[in-house]
Amino acid sequence: MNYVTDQDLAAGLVNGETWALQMLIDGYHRPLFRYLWQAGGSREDAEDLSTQALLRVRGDIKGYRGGSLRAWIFKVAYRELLRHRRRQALARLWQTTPEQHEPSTDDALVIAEALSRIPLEQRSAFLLTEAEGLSVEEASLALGIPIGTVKSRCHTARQKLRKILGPTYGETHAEPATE
Amino acid sequence: MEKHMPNLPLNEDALVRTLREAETPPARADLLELLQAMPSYRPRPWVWAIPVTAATMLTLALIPILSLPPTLSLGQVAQAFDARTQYTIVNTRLMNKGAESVKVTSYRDGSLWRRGSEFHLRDRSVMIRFLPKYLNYVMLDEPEAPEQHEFRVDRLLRPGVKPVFQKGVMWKGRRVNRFTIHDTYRSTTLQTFDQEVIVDPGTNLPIQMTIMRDSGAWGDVWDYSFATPPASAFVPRIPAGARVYDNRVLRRRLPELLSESQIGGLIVGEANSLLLLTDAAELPAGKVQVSLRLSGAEGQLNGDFSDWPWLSRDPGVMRAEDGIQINGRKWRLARFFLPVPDWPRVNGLRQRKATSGTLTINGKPIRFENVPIVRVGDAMALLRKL
Repeated sequence: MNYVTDQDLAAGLVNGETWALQMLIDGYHRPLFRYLWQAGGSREDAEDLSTQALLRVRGDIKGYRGGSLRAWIFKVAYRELLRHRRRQALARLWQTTPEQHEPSTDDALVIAEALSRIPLEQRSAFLLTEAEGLSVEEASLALGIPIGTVKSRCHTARQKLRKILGPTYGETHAEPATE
Repeated sequence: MEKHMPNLPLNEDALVRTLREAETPPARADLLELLQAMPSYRPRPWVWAIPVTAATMLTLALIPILSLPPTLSLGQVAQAFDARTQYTIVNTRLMNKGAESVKVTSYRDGSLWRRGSEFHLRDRSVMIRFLPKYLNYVMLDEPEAPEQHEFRVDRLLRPGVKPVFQKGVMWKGRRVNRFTIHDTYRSTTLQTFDQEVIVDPGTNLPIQMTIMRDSGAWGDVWDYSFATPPASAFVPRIPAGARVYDNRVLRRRLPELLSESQIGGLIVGEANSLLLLTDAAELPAGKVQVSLRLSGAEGQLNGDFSDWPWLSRDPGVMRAEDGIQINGRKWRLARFFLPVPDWPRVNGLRQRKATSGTLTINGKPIRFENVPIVRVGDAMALLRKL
């Protein structure tokens, strides 16, 4: 069985080998898009951000120092998201009308809306460990926080989601956003 | 639009499943090309190190600058002052929080100097002190070098106390350098010592110095001028009929004038201080209150064993005097005060050669008989040079 290790893939990306680049797209575009959409709250932004994150992975791959490549790639994506949010925050300073959100018409969007009501740090920890299947250690590397903090953020995120989605699910509380 | 009411059961598995199964678009068609075109560069940690190194270097450069002594130190001001031998200094002593003041002018021209009514001449030293209203005496004493005690940094600054230096501040319409010093010291209670020195930025010479002690209760202001004083400033003005005390002779004779008993003698000065010399008692720590009743003086005199300002080693610090040595014997000094209107109460002592009385130290009386009286002009000036 031809098994590609993280180091093999990283070496292929460093050398710009097509198989490695294709493997990067195939293996990571969807998870990154999903994470960036659910964490960032915007599908359109997630499309751009996932592409940018992959380009940054390609560009920065020489900075990969071993360990979980997946965690490292999500770390790149998380930073990309943070950069994007900083840009958005600056843009909001000049925005005269509040942003309008389309009503949700999809289960995933309803959940994404609920996720958007909890802080990004907790949201990211929850999504990486639960939705993307990263181990707590990998999420710790990706988010640059201690393992214990990942666990506590996941726990808090879970509690908040329960509260926001509520027993009636569709009737979400008008809980103020904490961000 | 109808509000969407999903039918998901509220459990985490369903929620996670929904998240994982979220519809995702395919990657853009040209992503592979973009990635191929994207160079893989080695991260350059040194790029980040540039601002960090710059900030570190700047900090390292600033630390010595910030911790450096000011561009001008009080020592340099004192040095500039020491180099001058011609000046006039007006010392204004402020009392009762500035409500009362006394001015004393000092002059110096080379080896000639005068401090108020003290004249120090080339061939001998003659100090003439008189307050026309009350005193009329002349003291002769050993020659002294001109003392520049008005600006001695070692007396002005306690070790560890740093002045604040301000360059080019406006003061009375001109630009000057300024030192300010705030210190505390313990007298009977904690007191503050505040000092300001105004310095000419061109010459580094002092223009004015103010020292306020006891939390501003009293202090001194010195105004400096470095022009040549007029010759007339050094002509002694000896008041007619003044009594003359030769301290040189008195000091020499002091051991034989004092008795060998516990209370050695009473030194009666022309000023408002009487000093009784005694090694009679083991004095308790702290301020000791003493009282004295004497034949030849009316009523009780009150005094203490502390606060001898001229013996202070550091500015603003009053140290209790341990005593003085006369012919190998240690004497404690008790100072007694009389307000000026009460001076006539001790006039009777001036006519006597000895006195008897009771010295009470913290309530404990010590009786003494026939203690010799030594008449002097200024008891402190006499004892100070022992």
